Amino acid sequence: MIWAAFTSEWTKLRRPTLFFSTFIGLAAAASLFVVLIFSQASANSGIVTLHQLAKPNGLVIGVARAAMLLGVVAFGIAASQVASEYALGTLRQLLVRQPRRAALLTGKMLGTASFLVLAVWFAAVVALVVAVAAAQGRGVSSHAWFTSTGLGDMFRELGDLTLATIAYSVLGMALGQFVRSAVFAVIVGFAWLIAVENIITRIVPGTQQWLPGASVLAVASGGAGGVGYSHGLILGAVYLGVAIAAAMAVFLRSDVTA
Amino acid sequence: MYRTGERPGGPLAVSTTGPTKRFGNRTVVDDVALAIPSGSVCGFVGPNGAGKTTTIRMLLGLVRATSGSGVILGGSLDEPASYLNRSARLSSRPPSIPS
Repeated sequence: MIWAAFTSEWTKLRRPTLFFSTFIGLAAAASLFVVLIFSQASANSGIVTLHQLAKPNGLVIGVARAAMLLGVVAFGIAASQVASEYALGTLRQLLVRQPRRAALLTGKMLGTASFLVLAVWFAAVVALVVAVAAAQGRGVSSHAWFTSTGLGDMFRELGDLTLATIAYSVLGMALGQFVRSAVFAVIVGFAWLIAVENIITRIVPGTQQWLPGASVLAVASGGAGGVGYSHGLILGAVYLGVAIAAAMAVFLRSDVTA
Repeated sequence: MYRTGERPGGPLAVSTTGPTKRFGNRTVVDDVALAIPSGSVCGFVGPNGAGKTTTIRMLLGLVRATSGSGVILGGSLDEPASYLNRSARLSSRPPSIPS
């Protein structure tokens, strides 16, 4: 049952318009970050210095910096996928044939999260290739990138991005469940992740330690914005558990009237 | 549709005892009693706003009845998964398939 829901979700996600726009869009965004970082880097100034880029973790600096953008896009896509099914009446048709709601939602969550993880992996790989080319262009030595330390950093960053993408996806789907409007879900999600959390942390210092977006971003970036990696991992897992439980509770009991 | 007590002989495919649905203070379906024999062809008609769609959606498990009960194809109205896999599909209007 879960597998059927998973594969049916993938049938929807494989539509060329969504598939290619997501994969190419995320890859372009991540690559843009890499190009900007390499083009702005100088010997002793810029977002990062050329010396930092030549270090073993230099390969993934651009991808790590793009983590928030990748996550926000993943969040928006996940939220809109769930919410639009209410608005279009697709969910009503699905539930008549697949009335076990817990299995249906689990399959849909797994399908959407796996789709977005693949899209982010693709974006990361493209961005890493762009980083190698950009390093050649700026005369940055990439020797250290392909040492065991550098490759370890790369795989660790890919793992962190995977965890963060799963979290962003699930949080997005949970929000989509609550608001049932694709446009409203994307606006609320973007506003929260990009603006509201920043405003809160500026008004009340120290709160970034407890906010969901900051926690997940810390996981994606290996610790960022004053939030440690371990703290972000634990708090992100808590938020994820709460989001799944709340989405499941709402989905199991809600009337589907659209 | 046959009113309970008026139906001809034979097992019932759908039998409900007063399913009611309220949205807040508004009652949109009030105490509907259905008795539909197996193998019969039934029409379900009524004016706009009578609650036809909501009643069908209760039978399909899309809308939870506020009160009342029913048996559809031997399964309880409270557990639509127990009978929906043996029922025909319903399309109240053409679904919007995202392109």
